Amino acid sequence: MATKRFTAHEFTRINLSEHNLGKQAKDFQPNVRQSHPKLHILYIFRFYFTYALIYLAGYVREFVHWFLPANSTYLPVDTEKNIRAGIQSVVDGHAGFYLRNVFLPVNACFHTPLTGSPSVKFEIRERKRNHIFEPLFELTGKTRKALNFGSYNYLGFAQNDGPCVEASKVTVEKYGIGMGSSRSEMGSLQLHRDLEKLVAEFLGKEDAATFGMGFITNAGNIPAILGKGCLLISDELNHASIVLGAKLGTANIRTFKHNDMYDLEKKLKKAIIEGQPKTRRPWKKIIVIVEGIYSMEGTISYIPSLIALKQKYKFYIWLDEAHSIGAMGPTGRGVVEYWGSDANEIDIMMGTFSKSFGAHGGYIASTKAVVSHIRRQTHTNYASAMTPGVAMQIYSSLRIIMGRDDRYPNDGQRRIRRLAENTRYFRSELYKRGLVVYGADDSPIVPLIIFTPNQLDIISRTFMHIGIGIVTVGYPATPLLECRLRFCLSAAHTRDMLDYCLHTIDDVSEMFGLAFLKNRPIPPIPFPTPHEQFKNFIT
Amino acid sequence: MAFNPFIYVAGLVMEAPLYHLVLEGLLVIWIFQLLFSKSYYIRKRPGLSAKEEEELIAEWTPEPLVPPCDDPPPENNNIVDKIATRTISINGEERLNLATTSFHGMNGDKSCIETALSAIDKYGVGACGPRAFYGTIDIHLEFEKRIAAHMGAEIAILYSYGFSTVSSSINCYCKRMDIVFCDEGANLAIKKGIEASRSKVRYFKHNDTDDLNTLLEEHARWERKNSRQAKVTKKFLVAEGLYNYYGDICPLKELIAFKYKYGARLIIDESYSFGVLGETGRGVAEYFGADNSDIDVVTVSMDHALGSNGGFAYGTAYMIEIQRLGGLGYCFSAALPPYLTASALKALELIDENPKLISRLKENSNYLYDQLWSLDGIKLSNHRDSPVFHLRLMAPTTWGQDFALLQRAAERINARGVAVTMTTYVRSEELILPEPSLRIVVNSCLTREDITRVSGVVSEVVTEMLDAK
Repeated sequence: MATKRFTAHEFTRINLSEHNLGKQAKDFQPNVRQSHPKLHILYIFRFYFTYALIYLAGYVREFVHWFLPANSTYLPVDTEKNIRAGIQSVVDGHAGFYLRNVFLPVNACFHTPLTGSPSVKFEIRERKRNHIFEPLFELTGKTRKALNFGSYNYLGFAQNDGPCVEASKVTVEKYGIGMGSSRSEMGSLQLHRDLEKLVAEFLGKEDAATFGMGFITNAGNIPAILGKGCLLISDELNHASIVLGAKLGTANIRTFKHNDMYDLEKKLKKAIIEGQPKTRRPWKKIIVIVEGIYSMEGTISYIPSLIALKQKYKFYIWLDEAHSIGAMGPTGRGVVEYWGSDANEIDIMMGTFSKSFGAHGGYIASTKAVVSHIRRQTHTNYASAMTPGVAMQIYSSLRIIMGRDDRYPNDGQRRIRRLAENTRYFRSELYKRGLVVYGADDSPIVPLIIFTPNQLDIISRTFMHIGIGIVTVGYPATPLLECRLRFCLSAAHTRDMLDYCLHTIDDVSEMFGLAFLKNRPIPPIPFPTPHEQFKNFIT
Repeated sequence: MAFNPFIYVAGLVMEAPLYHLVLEGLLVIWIFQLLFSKSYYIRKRPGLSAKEEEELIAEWTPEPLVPPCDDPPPENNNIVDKIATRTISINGEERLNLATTSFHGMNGDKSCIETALSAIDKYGVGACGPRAFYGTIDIHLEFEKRIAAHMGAEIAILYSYGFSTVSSSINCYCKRMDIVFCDEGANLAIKKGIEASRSKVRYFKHNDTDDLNTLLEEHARWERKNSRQAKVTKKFLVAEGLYNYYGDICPLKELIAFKYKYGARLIIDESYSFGVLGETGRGVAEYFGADNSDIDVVTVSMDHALGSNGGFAYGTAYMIEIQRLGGLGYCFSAALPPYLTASALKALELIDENPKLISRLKENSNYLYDQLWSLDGIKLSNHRDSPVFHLRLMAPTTWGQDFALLQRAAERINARGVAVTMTTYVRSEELILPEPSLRIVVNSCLTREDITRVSGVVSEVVTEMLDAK
């Protein structure tokens, strides 16, 4: 990617002339700027120093506990019988140390229990633990109302009322709870088929298959298209399910730098010219796996470049649209539509229903031949089919998004537009404040980098005290030095809610000194709003 | 006078004969020539030019994404159109249900459905996030607490899909250096979990404790030789309570004895035995009268007895808490929809309240087993108490032929009003492919007359088919 350096900021921007793009590129609409600001070296030194302190404290603790009996800590211990039999410990080495001394103290900001639906206003069950190094919590019985900036509820379909929920209730009454059988045996409903047809139509593909879980859609189906002599080139920040699926196949795996199309091209060139290692035979096929929106970075993959590369290097594209389906593009058809590219160029489109649709499960859409191959080879042939209630929630929410539901003809379009507006507003406000924000200007996932893990818990609690639920993420989900807060925007957020959140961010950033870019904030979004960019599409 | 090297060298030169000086002069000139002459390396080859590279890239043609399938198996046209409990309605035809694995019909139970509906009213459908990031709903915590109390374990962990439960659990503990002893007949989820962990795996013959003993003994010998490495090599024993592929029960007592003798951790997948084996349906440990705490991790899929979706694992807090950070299917997947959790909880209550369900299931299984075991040309690989029946040919030929024959039999049985299925095996994924089998799943909703009818139909069709062959 051509990197154009602004003062101390690094923006990766797509340079279309580099790849001799075809006809599509000329009509190519949206401009995308992805921010990845660089910090002063002294800050980096400070973060390392913080880590050193945390580790030092940890080593001292462990050293002291060495002399104390095992039950003096709050940590659970193995059964006596196992210890007597000399069975090795399952938590050892660095992983165990990290778990006990870095993760446990900040454990309180994960697994926050809710009651009620995870809609935009939610209720949190309070819980407590007696000691900061105790792993288990107890519910206090109190609840607290808060604004939800944590759930992946992009289009606001996570609610406990409305047409989707009613339809899903009727379906549960009619078809029961679980199917108790796989799709290939006796677990198929007409609803499953209708849903698959609708998904295929929505994405502009020939056929689609649906699965009961989003994770297994990757992990259980990637092995189906890989074989001996195949090469899989995967983005280095791809989701764990993709990594697992790649591990399960017999193919060779290589990675390229996150969202770096130059690096990808270098890897592709090398792979095709050199062929397989050892045998030197040419590769049978090359598959490149990317995600639409990266859930931890907020970056959007460069689909037009990828397609241009594909025309030259003849690889296949597996696009994981877990977060982008429904949330991106003028009609919610995901990141391919957002870029104005042709869906037929993407060989396999995968996505999940647990985010924008407020349900559960995943899909794979592709040509008829590929989908029927995957149906034969999928691991979910051994597992239960998608439950009817969930299938109906997806079906009805998808119909609303597509504008097929006569009762709510413009509701889907309204939600998508709302989300795009919210995203632009929220992001540009954050940029102004000199905060370190990663990702593309149009991505509804907004990671705010705070760098060290020691503040995760206290910041999360501060937000919660004020009545906002946010997600805090640390290692191993992010690089060790880039712990972050994550705001997931939703179409159901009103401008007032966003302002309330922004006020809170102001206070918090002042309290904890998060405005690392105060003197040189990220430049304002230079491109027109999505509406203007998409006006060709919206009729 | 101090030693002067110049005078010393000058003296040597003066003293040396002329030919010596000439020779050395020539040698010096040669050395200089060698040093400054243009060198080249024979080994270094010129790289590909940009044009050649382009040509290579243009020449390369990949295989199609999926191999062409000339003879695709027919699409599954069995469309279910009603709740399947005692009977299953396929394409409008009512048949006795011996196909789905909901052993107690909990997927269609009235009170379960009512609980599910009120849960949808309260929670909506999806959980909209992984457990760590606001996907934890209070019903999840309640379920974990209740199931742990029910099983007498310290804690439990709830997964959002049955298949992922066991594979993620195994993957969470076993690392690259470790060794796993696994039953050959274990299901695909277990094998995929082990494969993903990249640990060393030794498969022992199905339910063969002698073979397992030899393997463990072999490993113990290796340990004695490499005691330093052995300290960091964890050992795991993996088995299924009731085998999905065979319907027989694992020798739990022996496995527990091996566990303590050789110092291995025991992981049991009880997806099919939970709610089935034992007086109160607490699984294979209760069935053998063993102590549940001797098993380190038990994983259960809720697709079957609980008639819902998802899965859970339970054990000591020491073992299970690790999964909250290390179980991939737990960490990186959206949480189970709350209404499915609520209905599973209700189903658990119902099973707990009515031990009759378990005993009726056992009676049904035993009765059908007694009817079918003497059938000519067919062997039953399942245990008498197992509700999952696997009918395999006594005289197997090739896999494909046997499969076709049994599939025709299944179709005929279906045509006569009894829904049964073939066991689906993804052949390319199975390391050790079991023989093809016709699967009959008994549930507790069936009456004795139903079972008599089933056994009549099955034995007639099988005899017809085998005679025709």
